[in-house]
Amino acid sequence: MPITRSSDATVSEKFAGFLAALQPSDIPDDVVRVSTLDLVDACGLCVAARKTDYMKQVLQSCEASGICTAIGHRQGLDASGAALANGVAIHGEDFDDTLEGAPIRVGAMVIPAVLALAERHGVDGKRTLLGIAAGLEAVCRLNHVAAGHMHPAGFHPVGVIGTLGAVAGAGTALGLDRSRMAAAFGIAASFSSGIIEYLTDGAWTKRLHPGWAAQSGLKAALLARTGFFAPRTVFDGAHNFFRAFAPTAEPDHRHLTDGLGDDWYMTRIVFKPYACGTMIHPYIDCAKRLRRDVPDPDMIRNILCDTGAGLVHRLWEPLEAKWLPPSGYAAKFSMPFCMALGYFEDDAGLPQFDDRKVLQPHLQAFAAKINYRIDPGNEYPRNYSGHMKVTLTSGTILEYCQPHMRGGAREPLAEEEIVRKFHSNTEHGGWSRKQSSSLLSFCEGLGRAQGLSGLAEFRK
Amino acid sequence: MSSATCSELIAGWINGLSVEDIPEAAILAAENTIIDTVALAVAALETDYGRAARLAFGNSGDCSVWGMSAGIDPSDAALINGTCGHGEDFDNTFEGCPVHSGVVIVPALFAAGQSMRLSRRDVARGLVVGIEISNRLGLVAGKSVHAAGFHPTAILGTMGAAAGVAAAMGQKATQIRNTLGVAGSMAAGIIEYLADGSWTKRMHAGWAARSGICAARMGAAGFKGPATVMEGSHGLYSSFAPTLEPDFSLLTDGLGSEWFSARVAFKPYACGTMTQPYIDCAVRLRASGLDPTKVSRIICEVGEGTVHRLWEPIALKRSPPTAYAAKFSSPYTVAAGLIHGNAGLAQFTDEAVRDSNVLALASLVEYKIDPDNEYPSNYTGHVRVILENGNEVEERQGQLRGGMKDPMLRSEILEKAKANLAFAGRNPDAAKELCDFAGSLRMPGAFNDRPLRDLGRLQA
Repeated sequence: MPITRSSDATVSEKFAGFLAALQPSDIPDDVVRVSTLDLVDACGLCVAARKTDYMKQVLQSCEASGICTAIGHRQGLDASGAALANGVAIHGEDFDDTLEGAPIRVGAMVIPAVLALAERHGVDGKRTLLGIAAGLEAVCRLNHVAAGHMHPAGFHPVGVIGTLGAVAGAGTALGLDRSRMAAAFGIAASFSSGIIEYLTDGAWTKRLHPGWAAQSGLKAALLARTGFFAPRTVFDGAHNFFRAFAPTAEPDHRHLTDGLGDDWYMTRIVFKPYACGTMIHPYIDCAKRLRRDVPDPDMIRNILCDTGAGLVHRLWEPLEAKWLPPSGYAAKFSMPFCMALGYFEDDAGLPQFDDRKVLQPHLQAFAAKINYRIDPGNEYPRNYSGHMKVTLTSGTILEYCQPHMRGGAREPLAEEEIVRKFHSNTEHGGWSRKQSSSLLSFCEGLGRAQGLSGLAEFRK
Repeated sequence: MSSATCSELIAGWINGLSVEDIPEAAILAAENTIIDTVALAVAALETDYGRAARLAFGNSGDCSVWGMSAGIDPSDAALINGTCGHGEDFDNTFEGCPVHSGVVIVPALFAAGQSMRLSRRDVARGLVVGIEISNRLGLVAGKSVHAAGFHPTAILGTMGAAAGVAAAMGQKATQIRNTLGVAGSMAAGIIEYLADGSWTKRMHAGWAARSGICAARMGAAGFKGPATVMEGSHGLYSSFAPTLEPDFSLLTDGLGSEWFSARVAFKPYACGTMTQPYIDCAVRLRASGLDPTKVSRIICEVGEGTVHRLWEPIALKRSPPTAYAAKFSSPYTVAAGLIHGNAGLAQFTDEAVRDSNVLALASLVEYKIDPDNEYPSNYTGHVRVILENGNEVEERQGQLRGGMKDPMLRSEILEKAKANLAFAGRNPDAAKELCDFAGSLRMPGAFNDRPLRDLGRLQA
């Protein structure tokens, strides 16, 4: 472990220096574009989740009222409450963005923190958008430092990294200087939380993590602003953040120091076409194609899917439980059940992940025909691909391959598709087209808005 | 699931518990914890970190920051009270695992009690449950949480606070299980503060208190947390104590018959634990009439394992550069005990540690390794003073005072609280009011900690 002399800038100070110096004029057009699209996608998801049980419960748990907005809900909340509620809503159906190369959700932790801060503290639209861009970039870069090492240690990067992304976004919007931004990372790393025990029983804590990270990051930024003394060596000291949450990693700090402002990692954000685990998407595409070739499910004897080893513990095992997911939510993390949905329903959007649907015998029977085989040559996590080897009752074998994820860098979703997804999500949440269009205009015009007072119009 | 999980066993115990079931010793320990914690928090209000926390987290509401007149939002009140209470590391702890329960549990329960309009007896039950669960989690953990880079008070305190608030709210067993499951996802706090003595350690106590309240509110609303949060393959111990083979019988056996909450340890002096028996010796020598101006040598027999932390480098230890460093210097603390007859907060200010009389005496303090010293299985103290006239006086302390072998009496806790209030410029006699307040919690009636807002305030 390198010992940092107090005269040398630490890793957090270097990264904080980049954020503190950022001006709206520094932000390239494609960064503005991705930030805005991510905001559109996030806001649509907030509306989509507005009638769910878990959102009712989250709102019930918020005791303080205030001037901040949980999009799609009448109740005015304090900044922490709004950040929590919007963060849970965005990630609630696992339909929010992700990042290729080092998988993590990005906007769900950052956007709610920045919106709540801006609404509460009167930040203008331009700085709000700057904060969102900065926070998205921070999540993407931080998640590359020890990519793949947090999950095996039992931690959810969305919660753990997300808190740091949220503080970067909120701190940038607030205009923290370099030393306070570095302190903000030092504080936020002490708020970073989120264990993955939800994997055992499909508990809702996975949904909680981005919202909790958003409100934690917001609180950390406000504390840092006062001059609170926090460890400068939070990313490179003897007991640093990465050592605690990714003990098996050799952290590559260059992701926090090199190419800042030139290479914007956040332009590699992926928008999800389906409302389920990201790595499942290419398999759903295969299943949809299979239906076109073999419309009668009784003709299918079994299906064997080649897969990456890293996907097995989350999406394939325990296999019998994945064949019969107990809830619509659990189905989102079941490879076989998602393929059954793709096959029968030709889609895997929000209406498909319904608690009644998982009980339907034809879907369960189809899922139970699916098994997997680890392919050591699979490119995961660098690339997400889908593979199906289908044996028909006749003995005929059909093979399907989707070589990459749609929505990602190799086949991005067009803006029209993201807008279509937005409208379909707001409709799912029970909003009219008029309400929906008004929210879309708000998102698209954020960079020109005087302030965020307009957000309160979406408390309905 | 065929057999009950740890959190279900805890939930079952809490659910059936009434104040009448709690033995006197545990109630008394909770009262002592209140007296100790509140006075410490008041003493830290005007420190730099206390001011920063109050500035950052000052949303208004119904709850009390002890010693301050303004009503504060419950989350913020818990956060400020906890941060201030733990600020000087002078608060209660637990032998077996250094989990500081008072500074997490008291702030959480008082904020919850006030904002949720609970009864005094509900708050009393919650306090005992919170301390009990914190201590039992600490027994399971031993040193393993710290070894993984996490702060036990922060991680385990979050769980204890959640359990305590759930108990006070009168949650049903399923709600308590969900509360604990959600709390596991909020548990946070890395130990990088060790690198530079930064303030995040202090903040952890307050953040854990705040998180515990939020978790309990979510559990009460029905938000689902994992049932296997303690023992699951990705559970709390697997993530935060990966090297441990946890013995969960320490957590769940004998709940309701064996009370670890009755065994909290209180610190007589505001400094490192191992140096405390030496101060006892110095204080007794002072009380016996020893004249510190007539001393020629002071020799302490010590355990070899304490040398690197408390005695070397000896020149630096005899002239500690900061108040914080003085807390871990045996020469300084022994000299302070001989001159002031105490080593409380007043002896650890930046001014006090520059006192030339104390430093002159500290320069005469030397150590001699005793190969038979029981450290680390027992903490003992010894001071031998050789006077200028050649006479010698000597004192020995056979164990750490404040712990199980030599508990502090209520009268001593009260004296400590008086000194802490006086240090804060408050009327020390208010410690008696604090004592009465703590005692009133076993009586029927609504909880109300507003009287603590004016604790010892001197008329302007």
